[in-house]
Amino acid sequence: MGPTEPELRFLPTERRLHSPTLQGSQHMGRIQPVTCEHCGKQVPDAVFCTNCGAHQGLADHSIAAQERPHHFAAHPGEHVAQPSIFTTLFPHLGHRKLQEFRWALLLGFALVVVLTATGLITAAVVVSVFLVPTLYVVYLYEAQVYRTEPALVLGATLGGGIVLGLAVTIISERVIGGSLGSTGEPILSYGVILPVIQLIVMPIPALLLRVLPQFGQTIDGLVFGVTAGIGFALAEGVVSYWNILTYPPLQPVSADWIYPITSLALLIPLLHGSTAGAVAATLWRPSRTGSGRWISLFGVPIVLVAVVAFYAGGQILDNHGVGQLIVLFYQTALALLVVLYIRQLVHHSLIEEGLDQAYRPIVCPHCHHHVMAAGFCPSCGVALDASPRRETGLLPAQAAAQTAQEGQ
Amino acid sequence: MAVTCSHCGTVNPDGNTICKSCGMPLGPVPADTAATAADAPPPDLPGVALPVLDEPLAVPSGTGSTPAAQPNQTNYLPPGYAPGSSPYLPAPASGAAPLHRTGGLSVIAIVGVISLVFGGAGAVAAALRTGSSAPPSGVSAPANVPSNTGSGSSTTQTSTNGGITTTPFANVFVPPGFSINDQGSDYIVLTPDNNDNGAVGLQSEPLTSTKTNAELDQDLLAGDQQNGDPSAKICTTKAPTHAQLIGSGGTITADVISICENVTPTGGPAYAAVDGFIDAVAKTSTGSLEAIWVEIFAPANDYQSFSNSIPSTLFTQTIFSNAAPTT
Ligand SMILES: [Zn+2]
Ligand SMILES: [Zn+2]
Ligand SMILES: [Zn+2]
Ligand SMILES: [Zn+2]
Repeated sequence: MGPTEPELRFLPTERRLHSPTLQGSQHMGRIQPVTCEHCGKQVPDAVFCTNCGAHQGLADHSIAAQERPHHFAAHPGEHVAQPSIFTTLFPHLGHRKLQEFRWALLLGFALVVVLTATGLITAAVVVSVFLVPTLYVVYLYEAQVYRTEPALVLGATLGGGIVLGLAVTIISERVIGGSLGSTGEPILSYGVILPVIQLIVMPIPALLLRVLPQFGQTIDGLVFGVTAGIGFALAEGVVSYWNILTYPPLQPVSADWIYPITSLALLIPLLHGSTAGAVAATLWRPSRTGSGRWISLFGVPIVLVAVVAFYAGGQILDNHGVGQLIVLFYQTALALLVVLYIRQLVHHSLIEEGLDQAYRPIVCPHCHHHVMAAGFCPSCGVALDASPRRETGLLPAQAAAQTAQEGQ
Repeated sequence: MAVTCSHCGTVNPDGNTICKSCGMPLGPVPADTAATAADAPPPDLPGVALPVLDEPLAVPSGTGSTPAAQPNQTNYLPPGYAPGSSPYLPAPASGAAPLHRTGGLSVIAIVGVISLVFGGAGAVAAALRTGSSAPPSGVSAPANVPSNTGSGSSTTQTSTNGGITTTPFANVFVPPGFSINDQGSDYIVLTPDNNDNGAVGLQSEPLTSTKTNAELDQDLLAGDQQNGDPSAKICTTKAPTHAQLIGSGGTITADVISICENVTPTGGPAYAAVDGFIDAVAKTSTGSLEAIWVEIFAPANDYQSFSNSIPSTLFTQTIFSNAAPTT
């Protein structure tokens, strides 16, 4: 992948459905089903193999065609290595829905900034704490990742994350803050031990859902892990800022608040969500084979290094008088590192897990084409496992299905 | 008969066309009408977007067996999917289920409304708290400092109204009648305009190891002893009392201690003095620790009246930047 990706070399015109010279019904009668060069199955002739997701337009058997690093499985318009937070942590959203979520977060954060600037610190803290969790719950509803079990999934992930967040934050502040005569370094306690404990605890509620057969895919693990991490961040924010919520500052200076509140509203939910999601997704299907196996083996070490560098490194920079803006950039870069890891893991998982699925007519949630598809949209190549989990877009065919069942 | 999902193995009741667990189709589905594809193709895949075909194609008729995965079969086309056809189906009729559960601008509306509700609640709560002027329980002006300067002992009334001065470590409220005598990156010294015997200092200092407030007290005592008076000691045998300092991350419980010592100024006679501290260990936004304190210094015989003359506004309106409670 990356810079070694070959130039796109297309097969002869009749192999290309997306040729600008072949429009509409001109296709009829001229195209043939093709044998996919990568999975060997006969599939409808289209830009992407609907069975294995390979990019069919490429003339060679390169990794660029099969692993298609230039078409992220959950969002084919992006490269896998593009550090895009939304398409990684909200993988079920099509490009258009995604824009709505982006705007919602942007406007919510703008409100936080306005509240901070006008000195309404308590209000800014409250909105900050609830902004990302609210957005993510709306996402879970839109994508229906929980299938038919909204209460169970939300309770286990968001609820579990909140309970664990309250417990860990309250206990740790008692233990570390009140450790009489302790000789430990604060960098060790706040920068290493506490983040590692958080990392171990956060994904637990999500991992409990792995026993249910309908949540067998890596992308389920990711989304549940992210939800648990965001719940944890919510609880941590409430505990840490309890003083502000109960005793508002008398004469706040807005400039003092903008960095802590940015961190509270965006950075910590991003860090906790992505790290818990990465750990949950990595552990979701431990028996994976091939390149996915190597990727999942690296998950826990990468995330561990990232969180320790985030907290301990941030503390060291702070102690050496490095500006808060720089520390914020540094910590954001580390969170993006985790996001990039998640994209590699999720991309390979979607490609592997999308193989050999059943055909059905579907309105692709990503490109909105009405297509006959198996695991991947033949038009845009999105993995259909990364599409909303519900009947929308599928053709309702009660009568025909009943006929078929009676005939069995 | 019940139908077992070929994708995830869940047993579904009769009549289900979609697996109740994973959403995969359970039986063959004909290409009649359904969802709307009114939206245009995305702009992010140039050259890939296709026109929707305007003629019906040969697609599953609904009479065959299940089109579930058949990995061992080379011909993987769905039943009824004739060679020569494209995967593109005719545009579905309108009036079917919408493609999204949350329509149009509703995501923005939901998040906006919830934010405004939470923000409004937060603002009202803050206003109510601030409105009830009594300090919250546990928050009190430090010992030695009156809650109000209106009492007769005050000697500091001047024409200045006081105000906030910004330093790298705190936004310090300089009370009326005080002015800044000395200032560095991590400390500031205020002296009363009409009294040269006492001074008030505010300071912050990064801590390299975990400390409790009690250990910080010991450090401050040791510091006074090293500064020329080995006999410096805590003035009373009473346990330190407590007060609150305000950090940008919340109110911080501080110890209040008084250190009795002898000061020998260069070229002058030694005299007994009191060095009072309201000190606390605070946590910064990045989790590191720092010591913050307000120091009240005066000759022993003048200490009580001097500390009484410091307006409580110094304590209620000074905010230590980037400092939050450790517990
Ligand atoms: Zn293929
Ligand atoms: Zn491609
Ligand atoms: Zn598509
Ligand atoms: Zn199923």
